[in-house]
Amino acid sequence: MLSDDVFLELQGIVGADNATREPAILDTYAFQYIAELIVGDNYMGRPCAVVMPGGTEEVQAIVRLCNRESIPYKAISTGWGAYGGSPAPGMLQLDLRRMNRILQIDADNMYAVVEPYVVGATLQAEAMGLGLNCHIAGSGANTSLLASATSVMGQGATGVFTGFSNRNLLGFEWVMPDGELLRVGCLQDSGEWFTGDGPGPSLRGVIRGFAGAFGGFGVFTKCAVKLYPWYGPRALELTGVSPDYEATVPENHAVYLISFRGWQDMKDFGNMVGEAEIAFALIHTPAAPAVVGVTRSNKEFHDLWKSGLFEHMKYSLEVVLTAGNAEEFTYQRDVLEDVIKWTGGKVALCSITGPRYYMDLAVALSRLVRQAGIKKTLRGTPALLTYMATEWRNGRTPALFAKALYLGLIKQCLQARCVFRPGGSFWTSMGGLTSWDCCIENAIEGERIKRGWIEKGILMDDGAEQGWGMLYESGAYAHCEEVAFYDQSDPVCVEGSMGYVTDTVKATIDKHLAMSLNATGDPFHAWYSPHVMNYHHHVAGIKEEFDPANLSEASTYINRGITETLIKLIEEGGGENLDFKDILTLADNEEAPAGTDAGRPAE
Amino acid sequence: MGVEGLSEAVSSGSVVTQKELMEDYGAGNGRKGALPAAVVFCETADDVVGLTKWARENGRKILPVSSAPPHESAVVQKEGYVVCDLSRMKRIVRADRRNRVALAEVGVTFEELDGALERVGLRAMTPLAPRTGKSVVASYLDRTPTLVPRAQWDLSDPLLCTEVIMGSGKLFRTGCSSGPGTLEEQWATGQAQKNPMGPSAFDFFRIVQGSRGSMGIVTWASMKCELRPRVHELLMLPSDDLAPLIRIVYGIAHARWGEECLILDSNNLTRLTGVPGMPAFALLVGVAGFDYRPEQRVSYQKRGIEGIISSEGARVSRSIAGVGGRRMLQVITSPSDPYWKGSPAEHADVYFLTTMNRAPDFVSVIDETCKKEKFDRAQVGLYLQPQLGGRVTHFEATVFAPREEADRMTRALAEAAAAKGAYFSRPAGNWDDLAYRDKPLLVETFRRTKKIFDPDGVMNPDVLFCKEVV
Ligand SMILES: Cc1cc2nc3c(=O)[nH]c(=O)nc-3n(C[C@H](O)[C@H](O)[C@H](O)COP(=O)(O)OP(=O)(O)OC[C@H]3O[C@@H](n4cnc5c(N)ncnc54)[C@H](O)[C@@H]3O)c2cc1C
Repeated sequence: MLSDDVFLELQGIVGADNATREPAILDTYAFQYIAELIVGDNYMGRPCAVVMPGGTEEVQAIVRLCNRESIPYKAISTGWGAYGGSPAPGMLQLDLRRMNRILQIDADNMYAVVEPYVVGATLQAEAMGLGLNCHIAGSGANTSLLASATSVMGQGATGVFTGFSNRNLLGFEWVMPDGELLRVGCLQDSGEWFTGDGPGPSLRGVIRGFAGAFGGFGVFTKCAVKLYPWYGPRALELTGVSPDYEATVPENHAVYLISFRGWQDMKDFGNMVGEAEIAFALIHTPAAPAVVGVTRSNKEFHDLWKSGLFEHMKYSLEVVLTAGNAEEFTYQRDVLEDVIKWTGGKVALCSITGPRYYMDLAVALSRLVRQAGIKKTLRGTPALLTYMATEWRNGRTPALFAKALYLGLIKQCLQARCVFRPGGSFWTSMGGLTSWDCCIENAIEGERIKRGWIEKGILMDDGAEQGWGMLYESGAYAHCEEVAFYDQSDPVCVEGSMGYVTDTVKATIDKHLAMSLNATGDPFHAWYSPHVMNYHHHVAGIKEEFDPANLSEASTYINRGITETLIKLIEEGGGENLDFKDILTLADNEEAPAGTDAGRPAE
Repeated sequence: MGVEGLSEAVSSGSVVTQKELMEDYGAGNGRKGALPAAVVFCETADDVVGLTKWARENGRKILPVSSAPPHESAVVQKEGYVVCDLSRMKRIVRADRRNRVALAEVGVTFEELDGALERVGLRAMTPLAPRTGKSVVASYLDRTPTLVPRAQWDLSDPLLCTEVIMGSGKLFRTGCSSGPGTLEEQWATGQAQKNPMGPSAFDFFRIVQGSRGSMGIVTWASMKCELRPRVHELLMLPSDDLAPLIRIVYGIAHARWGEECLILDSNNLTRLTGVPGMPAFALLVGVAGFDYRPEQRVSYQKRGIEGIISSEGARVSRSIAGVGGRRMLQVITSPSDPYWKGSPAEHADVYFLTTMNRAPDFVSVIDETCKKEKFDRAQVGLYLQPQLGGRVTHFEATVFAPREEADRMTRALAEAAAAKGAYFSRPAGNWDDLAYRDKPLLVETFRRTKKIFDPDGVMNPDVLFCKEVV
């Protein structure tokens, strides 16, 4: 419980209107997707209060107060996940929504300085007006750029052209866990933000890695992110009616959905398109979310999906081209067509149509029929015809699908629909950042594991293959995560989903498929660290050095005591048989030092 | 100071203690510094681990060195050091065309790596005409700028994964090379140590990079390579004025065209080519085609770049002072022997980061400081290297003068540049202290970070931020 005096002091810092202890409001912060997997119901621990600071000084004052009073705290910028909260009640939640300004766009030097609540859509709209664009993580255009750059991974569909959030971070301002303010990079010398490295070593390596500290290492109040050239119009022209917008595909842009014979061709295609440096996006969107994306209700989705025909669209990749002029566009298209030919691809959907496209489409469809079998095809055809007739009546031609796909990829705006609507909730696993070849191996293995859990009735039948994968930095590396839909209102599904997660984690370890994007938080450290150079010692070393009282809430970062207890238990229990759920229970029961989750007083 | 037990600590490495053999690393040959207590030529990571443990037990400090002499910055400054010379670690473990990655030990030089990469159709990203004998990994660990800004997505590029021995004696691997699986097991699943980030929630490679050996000793690294051009031309644009060149650089960066992209002044151009009569400045822009329709790529990019150039009322020159594009390209991308800047006794550098639009301010700083210091401006060479896709510019001034005079000038230039907001991201030389001036919290943060990985302060503890620490 927060004492009245301390609450008054907090109100004094942020203003009475910007601090609350109202339980109904506190619970809106605790209500989070995947909370049921972490704490067993839909609510994370209820915070002791929520404060909304208006600037860096206020954040500093709050963090200092927390240190003085030994109150655990954690900031959120846009608050899209359970990792913004704490499994235990009693933490002070900093909601940074009042810090919502784009402070600067340096168009020449292609970077923007943002506060925490600036979301992808806002910066993208401003940047496009200047011929620039930003990297938007796969969580969508509605989430914080700063949270992604400073604190959370950073996978996003246009990564082949716009990189990865970790790598897009330039200078930043950091309220350290003890409340000191550090301005990192060139800021102190020239007031500019163009780099966060040095002098000498780079503190970017201390505050985050492939994953981030997820709020467990102080509060970031401003940061600069790289911008990238945008070779499109100053504003995208939208048509359609909410939520079914489409964008006119501009001159010298194109979008393709390409079907392949199998995984090997997809490996070759990705490697070639990456190194040819022609693509603005190269992405594998699995069939189920794609069909969710083009339908308006679960009923419509179900009617189309139940035949089993569409799950065979899995051998497919999407490509977006954006060129600065016609000659460059011709080059990009010529190279893309070469690579499609070399790898046996067929264009199933394209914003540029012509006689050859229809020939390709026919082959792509016959390939789908061959892969699905005649039975599924016959079963699926009536639903498809009904769907198409309805669409046609509503004025949607096949070309509009290309337009919708283009908009979805450019603006990253279909995410919530695709992952939350079908099952109510989702988990994602595997997805280590590595070579594209290994990403495809992740997709293959993920599909195999998931099929078992679908057959057990735990996960939604999404056709099993749901690898969401893409390239980064002209194919320098890539990721492919295995998404799974589950019904969060069904305890059997909730319970079972964790088995799926454990299996995928084990597979990445046993089969050397790169460390999963799940590898953050103690239970996952306990699985991975002994197979990954015992890295947890070093991450914990950093945390303990800068936050000895462990007040910056670290349940998705690291608590050495918990991680090491779990490692021991896995070793003693023959780890292989220890369920992830068991680990979480053990983690909850583990005696932890003051300030950590387990050591926190109950409300 | 004795070195008892050192030979036993490093099983395959050899220990040298003869004074004349150690002079390359410290005091000697007219250089200031101290003589090391010993030089250990390490051959394996185990040697480095052994040396580190020995140093911890015996209260010694280690200076790692990877390149062949003459050593510029890796020089022993104080008593009590043992040099860890890794220049004999010369295995090129992998040159992987499919993944465009090489994995090599730290002793491998640019000329050695290039041969291996050429055989598989790749090329390494090189700094401007590096000296022969320069270690590739050491150069990347120092964040030395490379010539192709388009290919640089992070200032840490092209460095990817590393194997590091920490001051604690622990061997660690960074990025996805850390596991699960050995390198061989990772290769079997199609991996290639391509992702430098992590493992998990820290990027140790970023902490080691730029630390001049004070956070750990790297034994091998994987690095991003680029496709080897099938067609490769250099466009050269001489100019008396920097302003139009700057606008052209921005134009090219925003179009993401071109390969090499840099601006050199007349002094550097002459030093590099040996040809006098060079223009005040020249912008050099490479254009290349690779495995995919190479001619078509060169053709559209060249037309595009020439369009940007002509919009500034300028024109590409076939040659400058009689030096053609092909030769100039060769000069800037190849290791130079003898080194174009001369020996360490004949020059000194000062460099910092800024943005391209601020470059003219810093050129003025150079002009004014030379005047004030009564130093011949013609003996200062300028090199402007766009980095990070054109977002950042490495500004480098080389003072060509006997060392003492050169040092006096670099100090003066650095002080003057600092007053105008120069950012010394890679502190070195006799101006490294400026990088940390008035930044007590930052220095303290670095020191605390070092303590995590090097609790006894074994790793090169007299450089940079940790000068007074031990
Ligand atoms: C449907 C969905 C899809 C997702 N897909 C992706 C994806 O493809 N790629 C990806 O990278 N991530 C993904 N995420 C994870 C995450 O949501 C994103 O990384 C997102 O960019 C961050 O926005 P957020 O609203 O979750 O941020 P927040 O909730 O604001 O923060 C996320 C984390 O960062 C911490 N944090 C936020 N702001 C600060 C700050 N100022 N200082 C210190 N710590 C801070 C929080 O405590 C929290 O732990 C996804 C999440 C969802 C719900």
